Amino acid sequence: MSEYQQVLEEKAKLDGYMGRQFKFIHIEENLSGATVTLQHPGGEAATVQLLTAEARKYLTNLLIRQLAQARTSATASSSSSSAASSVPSSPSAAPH
Amino acid sequence: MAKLIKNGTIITAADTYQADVLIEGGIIQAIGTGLEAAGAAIGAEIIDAAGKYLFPGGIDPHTHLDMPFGGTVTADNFETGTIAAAFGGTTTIIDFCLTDKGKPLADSIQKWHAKSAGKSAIDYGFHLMIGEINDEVLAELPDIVHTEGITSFKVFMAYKNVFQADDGTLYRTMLTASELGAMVMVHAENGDVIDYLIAKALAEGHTEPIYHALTRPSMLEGEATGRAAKLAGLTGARLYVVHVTCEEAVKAIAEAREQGFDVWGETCPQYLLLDQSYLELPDFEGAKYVWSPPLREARHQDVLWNALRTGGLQTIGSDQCSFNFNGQKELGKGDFSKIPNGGPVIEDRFSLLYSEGVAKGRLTLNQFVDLVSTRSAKLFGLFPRKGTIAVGSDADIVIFDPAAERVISEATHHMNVDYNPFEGTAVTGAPISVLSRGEFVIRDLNFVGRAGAGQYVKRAPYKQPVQAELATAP
Repeated sequence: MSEYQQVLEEKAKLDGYMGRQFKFIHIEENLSGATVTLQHPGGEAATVQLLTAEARKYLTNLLIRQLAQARTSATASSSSSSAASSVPSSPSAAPH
Repeated sequence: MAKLIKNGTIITAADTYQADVLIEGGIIQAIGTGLEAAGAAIGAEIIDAAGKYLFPGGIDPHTHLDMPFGGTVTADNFETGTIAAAFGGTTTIIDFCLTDKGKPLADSIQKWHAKSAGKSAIDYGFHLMIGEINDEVLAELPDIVHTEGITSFKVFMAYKNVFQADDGTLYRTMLTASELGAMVMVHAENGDVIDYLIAKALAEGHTEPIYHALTRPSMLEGEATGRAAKLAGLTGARLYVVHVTCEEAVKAIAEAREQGFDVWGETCPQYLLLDQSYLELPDFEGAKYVWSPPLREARHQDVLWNALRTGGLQTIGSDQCSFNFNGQKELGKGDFSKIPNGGPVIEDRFSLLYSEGVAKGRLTLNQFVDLVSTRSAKLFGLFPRKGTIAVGSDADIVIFDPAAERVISEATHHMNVDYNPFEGTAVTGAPISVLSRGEFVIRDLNFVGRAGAGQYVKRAPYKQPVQAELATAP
């Protein structure tokens, strides 16, 4: 499989879960890729393994969107705990 | 194809002189005058470099290309990053191969080969991150040095709970590296204290980018630099301190060198030219200027320039680690500690140092060459194959127009990232054409190279068994 096709497949998986209202709840990464855990508000959990760099960058955009939505919800709501529950465990800063 | 570069002024770390350069088979075959007949005999193309400087190709000892991070990956990979580097006059990079704890180092190295092979437009090598020392790691290191040609190990003294190694690991890495003739590199900041300061700032509601700098004070860089330098002295290891940013670290290196310790220091253009105030730009723009260590107060810049001029610091790296402002740096909105650290500098490293260093009278031409090329070649086991213009060396040559003027901009740069931290900076001098092993990569400001043309370079240990060879000589 070409890397380009692999990127499309990985993006399609993420889009599929986003379309079904899943949220990112955990990202675990190593040099081989990123293991992304998602959860549906109904409780169903899913895991996606991303191996390509481009799909991992795409994940960042989706994650930023989710974080922004969480902040918006937190602002609108008097209770911050519900918003916090939709934010995944945080990635940490990069080394140099 | 063979080439004869005529009428240029050759600048090395030691000499400035006018001569022609004859290239064949990717190697400099002759330097002198009256080479036309020899060139004609091998069908050499003649290139006129009148009015231009001929510099040895730049060597960038500090890049992070295609590096995974927090759910994302650096914006530039080995293709876009090395093409941009070539535009900027760099013909060799040494990238940092990260490693996973608990897994064979060889696996990580193979991953970095997979990222770079077939993509790099210029030659490249790897440093290797050491995150732990155990019997398995110790068993792998000799082969990595002698077979893979990776002769420099990186230890992080910061990024607690992520990449930070403890002092025992650093000490044992130094002991082993010293035995193998490998150099130890450190990211010198006190990660434990920084971790506390970050948590405290966030707990107090401080989330803006400026707190990235305020939670990483320069004294903690100086402390870690001094600690590493003392361990280097204790173990007899060669130590290279990456991205030195401040007076405290410069002094710690100077003190170590005065004591005879084998300690070297690198700084980067961003620390020479930008300062902490950029982190206070409104609308989250400060995130563009988040590096670790952070940009410092402007007073440190004079100290760094003076150290470059007087030999207190010896090399210039880019610390290339690009993340888009839109879609990547945004991860840290609302929490400065989540801003991806790093910026795009690989393309402008060479030009910025020439313009701000040579053209403004801070550095001589020969010092410039030493800083951007020769010293890195010597420290990292590439010299004399690279880092100079000499007979027998690789024909990595930059044809540089000292009179050219340009303005740095995201609109015209070649990096795969949506901003340039030096946006709007006018620079004097420009690489016009760049040759890698005798072939044009950049010709008259156009990319004419090929992704994948770059070769992996194995580097030599800094300790060669000269005495043993001499002892067995007849």
